[in-house]
Order: sequence, then structure tokens, then C-alpha cells
Amino acid sequence: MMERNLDPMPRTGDLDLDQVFRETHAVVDAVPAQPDDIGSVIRAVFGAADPSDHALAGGSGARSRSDRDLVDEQTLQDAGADVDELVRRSSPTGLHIRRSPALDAIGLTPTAAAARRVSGRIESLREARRLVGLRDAETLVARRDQEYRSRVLDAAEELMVEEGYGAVKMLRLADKAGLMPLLVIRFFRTSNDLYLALLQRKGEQWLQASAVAIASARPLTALWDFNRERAKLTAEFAALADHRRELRDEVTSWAQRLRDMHSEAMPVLLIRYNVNAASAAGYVTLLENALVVSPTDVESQFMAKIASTLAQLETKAAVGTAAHISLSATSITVAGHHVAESPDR
Amino acid sequence: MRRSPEEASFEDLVRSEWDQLARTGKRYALYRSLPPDAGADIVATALERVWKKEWSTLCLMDSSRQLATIYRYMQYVAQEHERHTKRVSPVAPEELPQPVHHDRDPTERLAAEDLLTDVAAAMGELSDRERTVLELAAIAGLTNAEIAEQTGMSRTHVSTVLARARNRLKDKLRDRAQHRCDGARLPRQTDTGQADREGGA
Repeated sequence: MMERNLDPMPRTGDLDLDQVFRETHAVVDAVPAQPDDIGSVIRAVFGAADPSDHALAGGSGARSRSDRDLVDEQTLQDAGADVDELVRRSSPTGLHIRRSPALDAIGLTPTAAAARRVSGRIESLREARRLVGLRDAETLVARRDQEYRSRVLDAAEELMVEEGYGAVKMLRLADKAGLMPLLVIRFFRTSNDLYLALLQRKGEQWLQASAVAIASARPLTALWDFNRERAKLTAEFAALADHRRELRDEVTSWAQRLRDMHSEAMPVLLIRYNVNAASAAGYVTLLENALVVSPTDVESQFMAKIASTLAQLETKAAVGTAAHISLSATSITVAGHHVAESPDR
Repeated sequence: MRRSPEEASFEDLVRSEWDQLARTGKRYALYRSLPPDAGADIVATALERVWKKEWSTLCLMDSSRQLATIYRYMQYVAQEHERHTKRVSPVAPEELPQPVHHDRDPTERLAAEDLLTDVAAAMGELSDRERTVLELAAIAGLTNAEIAEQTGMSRTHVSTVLARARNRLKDKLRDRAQHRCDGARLPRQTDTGQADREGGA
């Protein structure tokens, strides 16, 4: 008979390692300790360094001998790429990655690499791991670049709407987008590049939004609202086209595409309001009154009238009564009474 | 002061997982017979390194991957700590602060503390690779797949190493227990090879 002793081990049968760990975890977790203050830890971390923006930057890793033990043969073989191949694969967007940051990223100093004549002979776990990680890095870098690019475009759009295109300056953009100015330049070499990219993006968005508006239950009101919304940005692009010859063609082509889309859809829309298809062009022009950016009082009144008349028209059509409303490019007539006249512009 | 999205996402993660991080740091420390306050050092150093070296790409990945990376770094930092401090002055087990259990029977309590010392000592006898994998599994709670991803080993290799580590740990613990109960003999488990009957951690 075994005497009772301090031994916590089970005396017969198998040793339950999970149970052992449960007990030791309980012991450990109960030990009092002073954890750091989160705030000071975070401040210390950020104070240390930035994750700088050439892709794959890293500090030079200290490679320890024990790392080598952790690499199995398969991983070594998988990771046996030439360093130059690595550099090529890791800059898909044309961002130039110089050899030394690339080597740095895999934990080699250039002299060490030279000394070991690296070319397929990779030795430490960190290198292997980073190489394996770098194969995925292509997508990560591309994805990140896309994200940064759209951040810059978002910032540019905001600035153009709030303050006009004169406010779109590189440093301002970088600040608003939360990126380094260097990166802004990398994506958009000149300001025209930026404007063209933004125009492209907005153009596509606006075509889509128009399609949605046209397909909606109240398309005329939807198109009116859509025009109101894009008024400021459209005006800025128009001003840009005025001042910069290089942008002129692009801006006018997008404007034309948009107008064409509206004009094509309009006759079909007007059928449901019992309006003569011949007035389609007039309606399109009427809707463009929404694009006025700083309307005078008279203009505001006219615009309000248009909006409310359109609403009437659509409501009555929705319930099936004739509206006896007539709108033309320049005047609004409701039930035979002349309601409003377009102010002289 | 302008805060980049990277800083924001990093800080969010650290704040939301802080308790878990601190607890794991303390575990890493105590399983290496380091003082428990070393745990805080371990967390801070690991976070700094992850921020500097990994975050620019890590911030795009999901939070489990981010956490697994932090735990991997913490494991390595703990190892560095131990090697550095033990070289200078190895800490005798008696000097470690004793955990306080008011609710447990003193006999049990003593037994549990001995158990921790045994486990820590036994783990110290494992090879680097076995210990890393075991710690990532048992202390940080990573799955085999996560360990494979973090260490660059294949999944089967991780299972193999983990099973081997657990078996060796069991043997060592049994030996120590045997030592302590003079005369009592425990049945010795025959090595079942690669298949670990209890499954992976």
C-alpha cells in the first residue's frame, strides 16, 4: 500500500499531460504580477519606429542557431529562390525595391549575403519563413497599394468638394489620407494623373448611379437628386477642363457619356407620365438646372419649383391620375397655369 | 497628432487582447523559472518587434494571424530572456515568488508548486524545436495549423514534433515523480511512437 505523499502524479495508469498543464496553468495564472500600463507600452512601441513604407521593410533580424533547427528540408527547398528573383517577385507594382532592403527583410546584411554567395542557399528559419511569406506578399503588396491609392483619391475628392481643386496639394492630400507624401507621389506622379484617375473613378460611379436612378420607382426625382449631389464636383471638373488643356478631352467625354445616358433613357421614362417623347431633350436640360452650384435666390426658387413639380408628377403617375403638368427646358405649367419661368442666366 | 490606420489597428488589437497577452507573457516567464514581472517585459519587447518588422503587412491579415504572430515572437523573446539572465545568475527555485492559494489544502498547494517546478525543469530539457512547438501549443494555445504557419514547418511535422515533445515531457515528469516518492514505482509507459494517444494540444 502506497503511503499518501506529496506526489501529485497519478499512481496508476497513464499520465494525463493536459491535466498537468491545467494544474500548472492554474498555479501560474494565480501568481500576482504587475503588468505594464497599456498606454505606456503603446507609446513606447510607437516611439520606437514606424513600419516604413518601402514594401517588406524590416529590421535586420538576428539569426540564431536555434532557428536552423526549426526549418525542415521541404521548407528549405521551397524557399530556395535566388535573391534577385525574390526582389523581382516582391515588387509587382513597379515600386522599386532595392537589393539591400530586400536582403534586410530576409534578415541578411548585404555583406553577409555576399560572403555566403547566396543564390539558392538559404539557411535560417527566418529567411525561409519570410520567403514563404513573401510569396504571399505579392498579393498583400498589391492589395495594400490599391487601398492606399483609393485613400488618396478619397481625400482628393473631399478636398475638391469642400474647397475646390485649388486645395488639392500633395502635402494636404498626404495629411488627409494619412500617408507619407512620398507615397502620394508614387501613385500620382503629376496632378493631372490624379485628376484623371479621379475623373475615371467618379465617371464610372456616376454612370452606375444614373442607371440605378433610371431604374428606380421615381426616376425623375432620383435623377434630379443625383444631379444635385454631383453639382459641386462636376463644376470643379469643368473648371479644371477650362484651365488645363490635357484634361479637357477626358472631362468632356465623360460629361457627354453621362448626358447621352440620360437622353437615351428619358423618352422611355416619359411614357409613363403621358408626356410626348419629343420633349425628352427638354427634360434632360431641365434636370441640368440641378447642377448650379451657388444659386441666386431666383435660381433657388426655380430649382425648388422644379423639384416639387417633378415630385407631383411622379406621385400622380404612381396613383394613376394625369398630372396636367407640362415641363419644358424653360418653363413649368401645371394644369394650364404657368407656374414658373427659367430665370435668365 | 496624426494617427495612421496602422497605428490605430495595432493599438486596437493590443488593447482588446491585453489581458490575454499579459497572462500569456506571465506564463512564458514562469514556465522558464523567470520572475513573473519578466512577463511584462516579454510582452512589450515582442510588441515592439512585431510593430517594427511585421505590422506593415500583418495589419492586412485577420486578427487570429496577428495574435499568433505576436505569440510566436513572445515565445522567442522569452527564450532570449532566459538565456540572457541565466547566463548571468541562474535563479534558484526557492527565490521565485510562491503563488498564493488561500482556498487550497496546504498539501495540495505544495504539490502544485512542486508540479510547476518539475514541469518547468522538464521542459528545459527538451530540444529547442520541441520546446517552441510545445510552448506555442500549450501556453499560447495555437492550433497545429497556426504553429505550422508561424514556424514554417509543415503541419504533419508539427504534429510529429508536438507528439514527441509531449511524450518526452511525460517521461521526464514520471522520472521526477519517481525520484520523489522513494520506493514507489509507477508503471512506465512504452513509447507509442508518432501517434500520440491523447491527441495534439
